Amino acid sequence: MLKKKNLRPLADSVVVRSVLSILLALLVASIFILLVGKSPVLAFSSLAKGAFGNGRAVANTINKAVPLIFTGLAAAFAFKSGMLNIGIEGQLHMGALLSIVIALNMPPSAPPFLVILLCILGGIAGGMMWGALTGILKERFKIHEVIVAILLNYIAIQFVSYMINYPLKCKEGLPETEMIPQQFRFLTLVDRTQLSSNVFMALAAVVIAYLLINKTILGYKIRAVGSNPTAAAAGGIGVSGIAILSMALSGGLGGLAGTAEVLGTYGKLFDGFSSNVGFTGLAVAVLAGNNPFVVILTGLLFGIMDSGARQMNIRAGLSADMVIVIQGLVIFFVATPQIFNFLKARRREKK
Amino acid sequence: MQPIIEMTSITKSFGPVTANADCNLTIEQGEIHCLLGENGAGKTTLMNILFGMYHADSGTIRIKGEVCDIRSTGDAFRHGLGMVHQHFMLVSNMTVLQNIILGQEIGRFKLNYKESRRQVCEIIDKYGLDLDLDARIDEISVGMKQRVEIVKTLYRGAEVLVLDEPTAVLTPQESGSLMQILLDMKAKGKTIIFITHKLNETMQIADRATILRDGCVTGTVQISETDIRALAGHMVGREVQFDLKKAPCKPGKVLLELADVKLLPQAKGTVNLTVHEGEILGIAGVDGNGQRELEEAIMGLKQPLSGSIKVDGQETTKETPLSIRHRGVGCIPSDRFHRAILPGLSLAENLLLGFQSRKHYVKHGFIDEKKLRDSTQETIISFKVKTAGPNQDIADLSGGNQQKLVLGREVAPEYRMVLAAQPGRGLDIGAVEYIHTQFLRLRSESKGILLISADLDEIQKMSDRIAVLYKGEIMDCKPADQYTVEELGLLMAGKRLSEEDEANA
Repeated sequence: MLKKKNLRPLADSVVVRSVLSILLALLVASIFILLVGKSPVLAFSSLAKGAFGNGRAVANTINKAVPLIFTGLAAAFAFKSGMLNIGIEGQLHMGALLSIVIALNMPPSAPPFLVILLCILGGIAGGMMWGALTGILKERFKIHEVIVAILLNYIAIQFVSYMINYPLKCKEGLPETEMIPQQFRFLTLVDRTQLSSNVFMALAAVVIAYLLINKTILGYKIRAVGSNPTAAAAGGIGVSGIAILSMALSGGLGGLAGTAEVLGTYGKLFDGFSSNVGFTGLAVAVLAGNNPFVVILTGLLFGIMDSGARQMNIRAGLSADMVIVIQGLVIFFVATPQIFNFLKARRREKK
Repeated sequence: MQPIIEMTSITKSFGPVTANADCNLTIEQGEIHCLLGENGAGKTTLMNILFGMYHADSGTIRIKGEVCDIRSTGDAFRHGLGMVHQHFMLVSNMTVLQNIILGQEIGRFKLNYKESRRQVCEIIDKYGLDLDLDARIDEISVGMKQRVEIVKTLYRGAEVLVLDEPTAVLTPQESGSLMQILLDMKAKGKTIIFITHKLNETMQIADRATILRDGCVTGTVQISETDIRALAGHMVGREVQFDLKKAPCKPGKVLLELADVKLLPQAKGTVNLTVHEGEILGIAGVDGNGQRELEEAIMGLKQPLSGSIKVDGQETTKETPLSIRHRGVGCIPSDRFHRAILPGLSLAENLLLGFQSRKHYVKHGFIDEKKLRDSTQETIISFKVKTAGPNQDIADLSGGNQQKLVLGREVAPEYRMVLAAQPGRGLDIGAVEYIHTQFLRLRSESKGILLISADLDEIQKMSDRIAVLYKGEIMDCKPADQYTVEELGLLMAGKRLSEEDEANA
């Protein structure tokens, strides 16, 4: 009896629930895979092989997780203040654009450390600007943040597309920018992989976000507004200002995802470079229960799925889109804890 | 004679919380039976079980001797039970008649208003209820709305009426006429269950009372054989102090001053008030007469329509809530859940609210968690908050304990006066008693207290001066001992004594 009691908080914890949801999602996905006449065992084993098969695969998996950690943090930050930042994709594009413009316009002799720092600041600034704009339009003109953010996404994505097709088009005439000079890029950590030192930037961002949210007065104000805006206002917190600020900070984190991709993974900007990590970030945050440290784990999980998808396609003959189905199922089971409660209640009823 | 309702060994729990444990309740035909208990004692849950809104974990319900399995309010209706809820369930843009027949209309395709009207009129005449059937719900007073609810249940053929805290929203006069209606109904054979936490009401109207405490029935008594102290003892489980020892009031300089403040667009007059050091100013009045607007105006949440508010001689009408707080005005808001509590955050973090911009709890740019935790621990001890500790989520606390923490926060030494709106609402006698002694302590420390309350007993007991608020206007303001209850009641209903005299003359 006593033992059962001790297990309770554990069972309610976000980690256990997430693991359960993942298992359930895999189970349901297996049914889908069986329905299309393939083997779930082969599918999942190839996915695992693609993600962890060798050192390089592991390195690429981690690299896939980096932008997801940034966008996951961005989403978690906004959630903490009670807002849904669906504009991370756009903020990421603006961050990436500012970073690459800075990187491509520096003299080759400039000190690399300084250039990279400038690029990071540029990435933050680009994302913050876009995030703040969402917040301002919401607070000053009372337009719902989701509508504003979705529309700002289109503007940002198309603007980046225009820039790489016209002003920033490379000499070869392809719709992409020039490569950033090697010395201005993040160091590659494992040869012949895309894993770069941007992973440390991600870890630093996790720690900073955690401290900011949980240990500072600003973070307190953000959480107070997220918890109960009317009580926060009665307690003397300027709710509007905090809402705009947290949207800006969330956008800043989203912008860093762009910087990480441009200065780390690719070294250039091209259409579709983000592969929608801005949206996946929302899922990463939900799955992590908006806890910055858990975002590392859930970011890795989504990274694993992304990086194993190709092998699953090649070896098991399944469309890589099946990974998206699995991701969707995971979110479905996490976001609907009512299902668990319902099952629990049913069991009790039977007793 | 066989009892009309018999509930035996009713037990109901919600997760770890037991709302009702082994409760027995017997209601005799034709009596007025009070269900007496503090908030959270399980009165409403027990009635909700009777009405099929909850299903008891164990126990049986017998109606007229037969075991009934009541699964819905529809079942309850069929057994002749009717309930008047605390919050009225009326459609505000429909007429009284339309509301009464709603869901029970006569006529197959076309509503037969003539026949419905005849039936409703019959009920109204039988019980001598004064009701205009063609008035729209949003045009009539609260007392009238309650009558509509009563007629609604009678129209559905209720033999047993359950009224959940019916006097909470009424003026003393309205309560009086409600009591009269209930006694008439009893005389005509109806059975009435009256849920309340007010002792004198119980003494006044009930034949018998069943008292609940912490989900258990502590006894059923004949009112003719008991007194108010014994009832209170049953209810609280210990001796209750009824009389507060109040030192004479020694008002100091003016802390808060309202001049020509217009609260409501339809208000005829304006509000002029002062709160001095070492004084409790009570604002009496029925809910919805501008109390909320007054609270918001003083705290800077919403500017008044016109007029000026001064704290310590400084104009604060257009200041932010933060700067008003920094001038030393604390606030216990009426709407605790929306205005005072940060659910999901810890007790310590809730205690920080209002102090977040002071340097007190900041160290090296971070929140000084140790200091905050220590202060929270102190508040928990001195205000007797029942909790697992400063890190517990405030949403896990009961309403009373949340209120105690809010009180502890808002009477901190940084505040020189406190605006307390409905501080006792939803609290048990013990907690209210405690809060009242705290107000007297503050008063003796020459802090100012503005007490806004719809509870006339509380206002009379606590205030040095009383102002009566009616439709956004102060009807009168003078020392508390210069009012009679009758006069207060009239003022709360918008009538001045002199007008009454003129009418009589």
